[in-house]
Amino acid sequence: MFRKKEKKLVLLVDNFDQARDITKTYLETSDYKVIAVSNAIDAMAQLEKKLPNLIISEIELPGQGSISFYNQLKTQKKTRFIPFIFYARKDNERLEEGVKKFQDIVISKNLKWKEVSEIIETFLAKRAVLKAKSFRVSKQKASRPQGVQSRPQGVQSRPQEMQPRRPMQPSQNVQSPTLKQQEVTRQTAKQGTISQETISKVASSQVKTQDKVASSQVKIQDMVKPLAQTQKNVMPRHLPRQQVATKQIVKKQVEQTEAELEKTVYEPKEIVLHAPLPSTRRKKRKIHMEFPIEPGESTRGFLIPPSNLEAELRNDFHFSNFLHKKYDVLTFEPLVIPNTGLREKIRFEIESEESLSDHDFILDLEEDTDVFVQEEKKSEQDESKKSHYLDDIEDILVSLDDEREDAQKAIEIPEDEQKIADDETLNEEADDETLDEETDDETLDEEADDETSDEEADDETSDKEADDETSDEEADDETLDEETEDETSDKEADDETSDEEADDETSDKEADDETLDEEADDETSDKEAEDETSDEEADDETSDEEADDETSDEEADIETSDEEADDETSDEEAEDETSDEEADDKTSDEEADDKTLDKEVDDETLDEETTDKEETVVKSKEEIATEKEAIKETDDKEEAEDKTADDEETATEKTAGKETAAKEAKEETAEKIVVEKVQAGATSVAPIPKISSHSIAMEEEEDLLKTKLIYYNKEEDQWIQEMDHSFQKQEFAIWGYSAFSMASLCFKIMKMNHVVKNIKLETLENQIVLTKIDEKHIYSASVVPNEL
Amino acid sequence: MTEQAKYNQILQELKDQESSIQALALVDEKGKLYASNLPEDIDVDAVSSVPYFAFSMFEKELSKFHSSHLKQIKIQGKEEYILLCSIKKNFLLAIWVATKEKTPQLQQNVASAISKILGA
Repeated sequence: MFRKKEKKLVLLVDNFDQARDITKTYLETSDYKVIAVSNAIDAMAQLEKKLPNLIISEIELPGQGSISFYNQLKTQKKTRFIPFIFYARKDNERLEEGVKKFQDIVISKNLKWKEVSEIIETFLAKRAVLKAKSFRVSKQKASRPQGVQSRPQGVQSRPQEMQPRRPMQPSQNVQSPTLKQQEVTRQTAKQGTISQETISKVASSQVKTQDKVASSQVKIQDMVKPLAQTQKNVMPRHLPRQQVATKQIVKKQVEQTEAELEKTVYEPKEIVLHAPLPSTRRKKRKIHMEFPIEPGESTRGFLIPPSNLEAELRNDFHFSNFLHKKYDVLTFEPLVIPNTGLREKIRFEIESEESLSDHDFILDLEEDTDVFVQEEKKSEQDESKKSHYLDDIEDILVSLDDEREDAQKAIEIPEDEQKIADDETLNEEADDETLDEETDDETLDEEADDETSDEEADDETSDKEADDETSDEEADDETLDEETEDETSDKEADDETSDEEADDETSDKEADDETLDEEADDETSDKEAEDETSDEEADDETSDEEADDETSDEEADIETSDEEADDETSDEEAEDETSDEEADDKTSDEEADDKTLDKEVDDETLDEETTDKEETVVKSKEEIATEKEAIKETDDKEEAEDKTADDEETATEKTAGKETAAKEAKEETAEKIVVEKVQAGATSVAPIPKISSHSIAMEEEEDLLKTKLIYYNKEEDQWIQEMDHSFQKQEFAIWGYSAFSMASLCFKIMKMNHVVKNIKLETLENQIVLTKIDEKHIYSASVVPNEL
Repeated sequence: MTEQAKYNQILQELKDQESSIQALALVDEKGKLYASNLPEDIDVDAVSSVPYFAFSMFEKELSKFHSSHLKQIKIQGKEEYILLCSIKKNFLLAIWVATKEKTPQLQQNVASAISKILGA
């Protein structure tokens, strides 16, 4: 049967009820049995009842106080070796040093519970190992009485193999015996003879002691296991010992530097990464590299020691940007130091051993210098890129200004726009009317189209006939013959005659005839009709599928079709005129005779009208486009005005509330850019340049978007803008999107239907504002800290 | 008086002080809703889980961009905003406010409420 593992008992001492409860629940969830008390007196009383495996105490305890409680524990034999953890809000070096004597620790309250639990586990494992060691040492001391050798020689381990009647020397008789056994052996030695029973007893006791030692070793191994596991977790398995040692050294140094960093937060300082390189070389050499860096500057070209571990220990850098290079060094991908202006210098010290000759050594250096030269070149390229980016930004800003000017111009002439709009509405109304008329007369028009298409062919033929008398005569003869044959199929006959005439005419004329025939055959060929003359456009009237904007065109087409119909008749009349004799035989010609002159006149006027209408249609299109633009601009203007009004209101509120701290809100323009202002702490701040969405356009395929970092340099008292080559674009973009989606989720759960405009993240150091420009773009600004 | 009652009282006082506050919720990192003052039609489970998740996500991601110790998040909408205030690393006070801007008075009231929660 498996025995259930007993939970470790933890005595928790904290006077703050809520914190105590929380810690207790956390400990309980981490498989500890917890006794929680509020003060040292209760804790001492509890210790009288049962000794815990661990004591966790708040540093600030009422009454007796935690320090005196701790001292009291450490003076008592019973409680001296109980692992003790102080739970403190602030780091206290003196306390840590004092506690170290007893192998205890101090945990910061700022740590997250995961970290705390890990620390507790490691601490307990460590203490268990220490306990085991001390146990072993004490046991060894106890098992080595004076005059008895720890490792007896010549004694066989198994009793069966021992010689029974052989007298034994005192020095040969015992193997790790207990005191009692030793006494027995001494007595037997004195007696000079050893009985079989005694030998067997001694042997059995030896076996027992061996078993005990083995079991204690197993116990120790069990206790050491968790520590080893934690070490494994911390250190990668594949690393050789040398590297691990290096990393430990680097870790310590980095911790020191971090501690120094924490002390002086806002002072420019120097970061030193000191890393001995694991190498098989014999000679030692040191390479010192110093790279001065300004706030906001890129760290491209910086070299750091190999392996990411030391880098991972630092929170300041993007470790994923490291690239492996030759000579066991890693280079930074460009990194922008944050706007806090903390660091002026980063220095790296690399130690390595070398077995190379001086020549090689020099060569190596030269190669190193080559690397540096390459890095310098890279940095130059970066600068050129940067300048390129800045140029782009300037261009964009200039174009924006132009756009704004245009917008303002457009806004300055609203009366004209209104007039245009009125005209357009009128035109549209007229178009609607005509459309209605068209719809009413569609069938008629279609019929008319049929007729006109046929008749057009007749017209053309007649025109051509007029041009060429001989051809006219032939055509007339043919038509007359056909008419006589069948009067009812006049139009068909006309088509045929036109086709036949087309065969006789020139190629140009043939083409015209063919197109006409095709039109006559297929009325739905609208596009062709559009490209053709006004006469051909008549066919397009039937196509209702054309755009609404073309209603005027259609209108004109309708008229032209009517006119064409008239033209046809007029042409027919012309035919009649040219061939009076033929006209006498035709009924259609007779009808046409009455209207010829009038219609000819009408044709001329209608042609003029159609051209005028076409012009008006074009104008109206242009006007619609301008109107749309104007509407957009006016909308943008209204939005901008609304936003400015809102900002002004907020600014007045803030000035009323905090005169010194509040700053006026930045006005929003027509580009829908929301830019956060600096509220407090910044006395004079240059305005943040306004960036339109297209300034954050995609530049490379692999990038989702081009993010932009703008931050305020406190020392120079100016805003610095970097086109993003510091952040991983993809990462930042994803973060931005996820941030907005998360924010909108927060809105949704409260059933707020509005869109998230921006997200302001306030940290201890600064504010970071994510502002959404549109669905694809996010504007980020990092601003100076305010003291809210 | 239990802790929960204390927290509820603090939140109620804050809401009484500021009419623009629509809802309040005090949650911990495990999504436990310690206290709240929410409208009736609001999903309590969502309120308890989403804000802390959002806050921790922001905090985690922010550490990649050279910033840490996130104090507060303000999610600004057109007519309202949400404040997510960190309390003692493990607690989060989510406030839904139906005004455009954070007034100093509101700010002060929220700060005092946070201090009350800390001292409760």
